[in-house]
Amino acid sequence: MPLNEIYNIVYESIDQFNEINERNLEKSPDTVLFGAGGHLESIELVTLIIEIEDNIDDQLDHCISIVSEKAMSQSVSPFQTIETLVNYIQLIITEGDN
Amino acid sequence: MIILITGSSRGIGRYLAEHYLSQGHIVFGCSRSTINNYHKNYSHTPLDVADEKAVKKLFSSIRKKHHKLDVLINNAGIASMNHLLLTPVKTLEKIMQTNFTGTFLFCREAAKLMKKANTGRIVNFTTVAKPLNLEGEAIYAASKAAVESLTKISAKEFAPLGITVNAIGPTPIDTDLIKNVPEMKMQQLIAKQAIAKKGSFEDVSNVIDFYIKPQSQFITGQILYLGGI
Repeated sequence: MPLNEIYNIVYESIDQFNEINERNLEKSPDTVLFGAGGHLESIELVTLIIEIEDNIDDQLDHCISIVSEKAMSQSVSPFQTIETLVNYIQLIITEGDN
Repeated sequence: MIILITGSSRGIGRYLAEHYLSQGHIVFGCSRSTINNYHKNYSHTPLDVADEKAVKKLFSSIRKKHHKLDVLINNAGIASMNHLLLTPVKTLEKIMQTNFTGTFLFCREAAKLMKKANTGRIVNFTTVAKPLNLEGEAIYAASKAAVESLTKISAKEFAPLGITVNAIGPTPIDTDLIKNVPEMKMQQLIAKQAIAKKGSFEDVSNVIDFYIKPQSQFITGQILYLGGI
């Protein structure tokens, strides 16, 4: 799965997230999502993750769970930045272990 | 409304499916077994309620078709009566998987879908065996105690999302769940209720109707036992 395709879906999800929540989360790989310096509260992260999971399901026909034990055990949290999130999504889609 | 009922192939689940279909609602059901589709507004999915992938696929299909879910009724459940000393770990695992893991998975996935509309109703199933601490039902009652805690805490976590979470605790009702319980045991149990009789399917749907009606948007985190426990 090409990374740019996943970036497109994540950015589309951020557009939806920004619109629904009247936020202005920047669409950049370096945007810090969650944790130190993060732009999202936990409930906002959940909202964004749900949007991304649904868009991946709709566009790529992959029914994935981004939040999992695997996600929690990564040395770098998938939820740190948009880049780490996209890389993690590519990993779980490629491994097909969801 | 779009209503999802687990364990809908027989017993209380089947009754509830027919009850809400007769009111013009769209009902999605699931159970381990495959059943013939008996109504144009009913869709059945054979699955194990504790199978995360299968559960996610079911919710995916509901979302793609209707973009929403109004009500989840977590009815699927299994029981096993046995003295603790005679209870295999496998039995415990099976009961916890169906009664607790299944309820958890459906609550989680339903809330994701309901969150989008900022409204939703979740109804879980507990049992009078839990408050009565019935001998021989340690594992079953413990699994339902877990469901009760899940109900009360998820009610708090989901409240900001516009979702209510409540539970009903039926008395014994003539279904497959209690068919192997000796009649004498059953009478002893029923005698502990304020109203000493078995419940009916209608008693259950009456409580669920109350939980899911629009006016009940301020009712959440409640456990309602039938029969006066």
